[in-house]
Amino acid sequence: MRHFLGFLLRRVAWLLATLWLVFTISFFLMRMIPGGPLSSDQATHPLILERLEAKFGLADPVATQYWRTLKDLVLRFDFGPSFKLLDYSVNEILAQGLPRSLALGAVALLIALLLGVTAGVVSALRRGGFLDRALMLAATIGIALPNFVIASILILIFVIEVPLLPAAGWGGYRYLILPAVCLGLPFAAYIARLTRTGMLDVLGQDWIRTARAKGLKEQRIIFGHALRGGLLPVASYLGPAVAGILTGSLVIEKIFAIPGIGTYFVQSALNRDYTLSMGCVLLYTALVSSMNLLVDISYTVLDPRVELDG
Amino acid sequence: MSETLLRVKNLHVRFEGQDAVVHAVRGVDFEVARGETLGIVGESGSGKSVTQMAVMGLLGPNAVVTAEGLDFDGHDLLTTSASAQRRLRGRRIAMIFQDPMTSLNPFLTLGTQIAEVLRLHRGLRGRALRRATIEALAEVQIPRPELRVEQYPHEFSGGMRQRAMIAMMIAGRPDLLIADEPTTALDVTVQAQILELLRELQRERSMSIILITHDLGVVAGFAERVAVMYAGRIVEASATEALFDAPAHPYTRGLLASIPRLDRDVESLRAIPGAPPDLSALLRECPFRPRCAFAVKRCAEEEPGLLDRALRPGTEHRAACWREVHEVAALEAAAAAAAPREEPLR
Amino acid sequence: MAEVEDPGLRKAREGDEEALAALVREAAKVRGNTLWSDAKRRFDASWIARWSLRFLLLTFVVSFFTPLLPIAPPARVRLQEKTLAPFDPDLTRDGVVLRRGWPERHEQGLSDEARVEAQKLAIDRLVRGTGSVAGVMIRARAAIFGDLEVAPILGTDALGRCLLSRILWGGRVSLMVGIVATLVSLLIGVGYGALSGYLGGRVDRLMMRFVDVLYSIPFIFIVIFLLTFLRAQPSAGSGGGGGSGDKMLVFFVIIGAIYWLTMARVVRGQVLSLKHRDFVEAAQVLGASTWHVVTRHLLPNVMSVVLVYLTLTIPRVMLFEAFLSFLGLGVEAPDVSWGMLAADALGAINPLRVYWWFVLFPSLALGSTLLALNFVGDGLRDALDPRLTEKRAKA
Repeated sequence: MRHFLGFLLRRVAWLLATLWLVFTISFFLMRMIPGGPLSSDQATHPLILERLEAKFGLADPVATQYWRTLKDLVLRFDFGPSFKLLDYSVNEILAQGLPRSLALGAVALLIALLLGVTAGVVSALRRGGFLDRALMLAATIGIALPNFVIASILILIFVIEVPLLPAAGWGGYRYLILPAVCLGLPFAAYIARLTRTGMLDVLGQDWIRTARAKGLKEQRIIFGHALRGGLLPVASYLGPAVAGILTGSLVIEKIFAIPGIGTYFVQSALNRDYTLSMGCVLLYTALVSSMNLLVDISYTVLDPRVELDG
Repeated sequence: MSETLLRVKNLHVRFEGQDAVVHAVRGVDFEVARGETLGIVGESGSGKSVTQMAVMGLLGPNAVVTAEGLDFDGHDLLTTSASAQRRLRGRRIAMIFQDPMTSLNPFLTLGTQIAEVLRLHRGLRGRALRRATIEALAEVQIPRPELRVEQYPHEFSGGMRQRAMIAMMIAGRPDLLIADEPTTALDVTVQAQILELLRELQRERSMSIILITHDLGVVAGFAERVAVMYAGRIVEASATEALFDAPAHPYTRGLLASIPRLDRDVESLRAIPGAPPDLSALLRECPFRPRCAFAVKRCAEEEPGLLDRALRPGTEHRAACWREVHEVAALEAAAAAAAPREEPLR
Repeated sequence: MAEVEDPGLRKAREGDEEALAALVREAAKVRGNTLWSDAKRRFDASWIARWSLRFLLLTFVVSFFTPLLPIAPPARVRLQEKTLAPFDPDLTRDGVVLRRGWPERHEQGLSDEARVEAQKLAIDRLVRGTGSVAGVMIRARAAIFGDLEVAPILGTDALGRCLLSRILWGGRVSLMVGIVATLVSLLIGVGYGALSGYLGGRVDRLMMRFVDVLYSIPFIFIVIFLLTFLRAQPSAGSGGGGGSGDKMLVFFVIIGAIYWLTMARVVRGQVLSLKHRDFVEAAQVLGASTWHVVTRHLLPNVMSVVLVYLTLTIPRVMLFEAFLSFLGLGVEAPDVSWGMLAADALGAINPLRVYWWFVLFPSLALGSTLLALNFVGDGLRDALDPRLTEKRAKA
């Protein structure tokens, strides 16, 4: 238990260090732009510029600004006001978008896992057969195609040709199905491959032969003995998968007009809304890092031989 | 001996790969009586493990098994359905494997892995199941079994793991235990302990054991009868003592000469020159001929079957060699006298 | 890996030079010839990999020579031809697909001289908007085909731009991004990984720790964040056509710079394991120079892994470019890329009228290329080292 606490502390320290690093890089890049963050294509009235500079404290020395921003962030968890959506603070915007993005991501991950693991197990059990080949071909296609291509095909089918689902927007669960499927499919494809390799690897192990020698039924051998080891590669892929799903959500949220953080992030990048952009980057970093931490912990639960380290 | 438990007659196993067919077992006959111990000796690739895997029904889909007879206690193993055969495994016939590290599931506690057998074959549930699991570990003399049931294989030492493996496999109270090189991966001292444990368990339960090994030394003190396998066939079968007294097949003689013994010098140890034949082609000659110092013309023309080579009438001692035992022994002695050997320093 | 010493090598260490030389010769033969010819045989055994490779070569050649083809300029807007369906009967009547009017149609009343002059100006404008290689090819194309061009047989988009031309030109950009950025990542990754593996010890641990740290940062988001600033400098360059090329270059470098991490790890592992192989040690015992060891023994072995990883990185980078362009953060108009075309297509989807060709053709181009790259990568991996399959699954 003490071991576990030490591990947790070390990892949280790493997370904070990473966040600080990302914050610092972002902050100074932001200030390096000639003309300052408020410069834009259109000529702004000098008076308005002055007022804006005062509001964002841009007249102060960079070091002062850095400490002030960092202090606000650490002590009050405050990202400051948005540069472009002047009536909102970054916190308000993120708080609004986060639940939607999380719901979308969680459902997509669930779909990816369910679909991927099932396909992978079936494929491994039917090794070399028609089903195996068909599933693996589908998986290769799923990995190769960008999710917006998948999205356009599915929209053409399920929205335009057979109008079953709404095209875009945010509402009940029906609005979530199509985006989550589009977001989850490429990852399902990758997970299917990993599961297949993992299962084949495990099914060739000596202890599967032992399980057969014990007279166990085939289902018990597969689900009781093989699956757990076969899923280890999938477990270690979950970290990258979460990062990938968050990345993919930028596209999916845009396609389906879902007002989540992905949409805000892209908008902020296009509008040069620096504070919002930085808030999003930090939020994403925190999400990805903490998911990686969770995955590492879950890995030790899955494999008793692995000890926590790092 | 008394009642026959397992009878194997003219067993063939071939593996069909994409490019080649390998005839791994080429006509093997043997019997095991109830309570008896049979040792099967051979180098790797001789077909000794494949033979037993065929008995267990554990060979993969690329293996083709044929036989004139494969009877276990009234069950014809060739014609029984897969599920009936499965019900025999673990309950009537069990098998322990060479490497207890890789043969135990690393993701499950030993308690879970043993309880699985108890539940399936003895129908135990709940508290009785747990008690029986702990008892099973205690029976193979694992100390503090109530703690050990909660542990994973990697938390056990090699010898303890093999004990746990044995506990797991005898938990279904099988009539026949096939032990495939059970001590090969272990230290010498631990080897002796494991063999001792197997012997005790056998006495208590009057279980038959087939001990597969490449080490004639292991068989010597353990099995009542021995079969030596080479290139997919049994080349010599006999009571253990008779085999050690008067080995009839040149291959067996070679094996015996390669065992280190306390009463002989290390210098006298000899390895058998050459390598076993390629089993992807069908053989006509004696498979040992290329490595044999006593080969005659006939050896290249015809593969010998098991011929009676018993020294005393009424005993069973057969070998697949055209030469008589005394011929081979005399030739060997002459060769040893002729070769100038360096006198070892003392 | 178990440190089992080959008896041949042990003997060689004891001074038997001949055995040593024989071992080195054998190693060179085994690794040099058999590795590649075996790999080729295994690769050719998979028809899907073989045909994917042919398809890719064709795609590369066609994309490279696109400026030579008699097709419409990709950015030319013709509102009177908007949303034409593929093989629109009005344009391809009687099977005639070639028509006049490249690069621009000119007023009927113009004199011949004025028309030639106007066309020259239009071609100059076109050349200015592209790189120098493409510029030479455009002039050559003008000399060969004159003002002939292929009618928009794959249809036109909402602004009447020829889809065929946009897909071909888009392929140029997408493939170029994929290749250049992957080469950047290759340079950084191989250099870093080989150095780390070759130096070994504490330096190696430190260098790999740094890679671990970088791994935990979600770079894609930072890249988007960075692009925020790149886009914020429209006037940073001197203005005009040159700026677009510069920005594209920065874009390539940024994408390449975030894909080197895995390459560095793979190369380092390979170098580390090769350093202690018998044939490398044997060569060192024989007194071969470091240069010889590196070029004759280490590089050819590392190359197989790098090649596999390379073919698998290109589609990933292309996917990323498509992703950024889709979001409007990547390639900027008037340049085209497949990701951008897909974004345009999705924007045009509406229940009233389905312009299926907007979606189908760019998706087909992007999808089939990525798929072929994946198949070739998988085929190469299986051909060069079947064990890699496992390694990748565990990575």
